[in-house]
Amino acid sequence: MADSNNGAIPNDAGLLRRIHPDLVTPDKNLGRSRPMTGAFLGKDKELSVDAEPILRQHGLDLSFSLRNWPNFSLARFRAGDARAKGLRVVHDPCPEEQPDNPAHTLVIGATRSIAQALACACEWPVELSGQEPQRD
Amino acid sequence: MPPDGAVQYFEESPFPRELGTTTTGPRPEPARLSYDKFWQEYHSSVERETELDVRRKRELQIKLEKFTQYPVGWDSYGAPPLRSDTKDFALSVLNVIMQPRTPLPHVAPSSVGGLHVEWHERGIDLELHIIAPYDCDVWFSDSRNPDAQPVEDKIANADFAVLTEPIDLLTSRAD
Repeated sequence: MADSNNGAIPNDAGLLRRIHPDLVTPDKNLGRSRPMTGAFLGKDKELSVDAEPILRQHGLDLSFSLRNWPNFSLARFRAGDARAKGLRVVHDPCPEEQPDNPAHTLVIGATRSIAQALACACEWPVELSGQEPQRD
Repeated sequence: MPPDGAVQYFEESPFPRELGTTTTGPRPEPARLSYDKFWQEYHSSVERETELDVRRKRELQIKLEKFTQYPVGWDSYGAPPLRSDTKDFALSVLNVIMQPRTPLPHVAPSSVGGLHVEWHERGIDLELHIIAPYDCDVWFSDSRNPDAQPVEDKIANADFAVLTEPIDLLTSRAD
């Protein structure tokens, strides 16, 4: 596992987290749907994500992250946002449970309040309908 | 007129014509009828509320039951399904803390076989992670009260007093 907290995964890199439909909550305070805080709380404070630039380097796009999970959404936050909250961003390619995933990355150390901040600030690069938005 | 004639007289005729001509309209409905009507309406609204409450709790129960049948890895990251004992505990907690007019929370299984219970409305953010029976994390923030600090707590027993204030606010506060 290569520790890419030194900048190998740049701060502006998008980190993609799959979101099960049950984990999308209508946040009436924000006036929009967002991932539940729990969607950003991994086991042992380790959150699995896919690093977008590494996907692109391998000729893959966002649909690769949803290859086996067509009804899921994708939430994106920036590596720099995670680091700014003191989290480590560690490239962890092809782990045992995803041997075909060269972009697999771990975000380590998220507490509940950090998870909530990420859940409130993240974007939806793949809409809830499962459609990737049109690019300009 | 018999001794109770006056009562009978008032109850039977809202506009007693034998007293002659009058320019006033019929008297309003006797107070006793309004009182009966009030209780009738009150009881039917309580019944409606109770039915609604039972239906809402049943909906939650069905949802949680479904979560216990999810396969391992349902979240695509290896999460186990909701544990059955945690489901039962969660239902008993919700039964205790929720009032008839409390909005329904958003619920979802968690990555450790627990249950996330979240409310995000009326300026309140209340999150409860029921990890296992008698093992819960609570997080609460009230954006409409600038003096209130977010509350983060751990519940390791059956005392859910920390939830009283946020649930009261969620229940009583307007949108």
